[in-house]
Amino acid sequence: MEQNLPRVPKDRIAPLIGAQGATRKKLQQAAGCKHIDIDSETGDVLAIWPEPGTYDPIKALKLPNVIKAIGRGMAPKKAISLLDDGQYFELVDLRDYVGKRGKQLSRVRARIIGTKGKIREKIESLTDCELTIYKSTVVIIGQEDGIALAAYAVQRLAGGAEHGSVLHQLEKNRKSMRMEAKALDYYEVKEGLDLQPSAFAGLVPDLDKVRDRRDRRLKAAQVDPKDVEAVDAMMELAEDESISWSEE
Amino acid sequence: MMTHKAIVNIFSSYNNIVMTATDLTGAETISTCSGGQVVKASKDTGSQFAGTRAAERMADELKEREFTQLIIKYRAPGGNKANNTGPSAQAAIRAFTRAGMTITRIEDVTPIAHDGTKSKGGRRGRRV
Repeated sequence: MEQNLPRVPKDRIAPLIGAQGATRKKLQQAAGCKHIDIDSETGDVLAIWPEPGTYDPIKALKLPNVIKAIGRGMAPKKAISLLDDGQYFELVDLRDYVGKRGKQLSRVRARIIGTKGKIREKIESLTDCELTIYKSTVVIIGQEDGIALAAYAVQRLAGGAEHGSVLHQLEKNRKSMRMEAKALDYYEVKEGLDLQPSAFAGLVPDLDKVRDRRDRRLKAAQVDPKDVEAVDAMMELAEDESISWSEE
Repeated sequence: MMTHKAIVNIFSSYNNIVMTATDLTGAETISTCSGGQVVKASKDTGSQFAGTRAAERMADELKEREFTQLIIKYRAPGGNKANNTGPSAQAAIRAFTRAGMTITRIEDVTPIAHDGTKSKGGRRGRRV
């Protein structure tokens, strides 16, 4: 199977190929594909996969994103880690927030990175993600719940929110994330299994049997109200019974 | 045993997953499944778990009709919305391979806007 992958900008072709094709080979090995063809003039990338069934289709699903991440400035080593299970990719375009003017873009980039990378490091450590800010895009790689938080934080910073409030919210979310990680997501009750006796019944041996007997007796003592004979029989007094009444 | 090929169209967003299996012409639907049919809480309809369950259910139906080879076409909301699939798409494809399906081709069919309409939210963004 041939798979056309996203084109890579000219200044990122060299990192994608690596010294004597080292990065390309590493990428091939990690993805398990036959060959990755990179046109060093135009930046076109083509992946050739072996026979169906011999490779992992998830890797084929993720490979375009890996190439996109490398093309958007991420280090190939970090980008290859996206091929692992449970890692997701997110791309935020800053042009959607401030337009395409260079001055505005560099202002927003600076906001997201912070002094000596302070803000970026904080976002990375609070959400367990990898952030790469390059030209007009922010590439985020991370796990399922962290990536949504990180993308939202970047979008808020690009939209003009204060650093303090964004980081504060991330910290708040981190706490709830930790709680959710410990919580049970789903449980299934298997059919055909006898339910466990409740805690109280377990304390008193044979309580279930006594309850059953009582219920059965009560049921047997009930009389069908439509059955006239049965009702009469029930109303009839035994020899030693009598009704005595007097006005109060 | 005769085996048939089917196309599985997967729409996966952060909030839901919708899958439709068709024959190779794309005109005849074999089976459909979505996140809401397999989980109890609506907040879970876009989760990995929903993807797995939905794919398992679909794999059973496909196997009944002797479809074991799949072409997968996945898409995200696209247009002026998110261009990345949600977590459920990966889980669904993994579940298909676990169920013994052979995936012959995998393709991204997300609609990409070449300049289009303005996205939802207004100038001042989404205010919560």
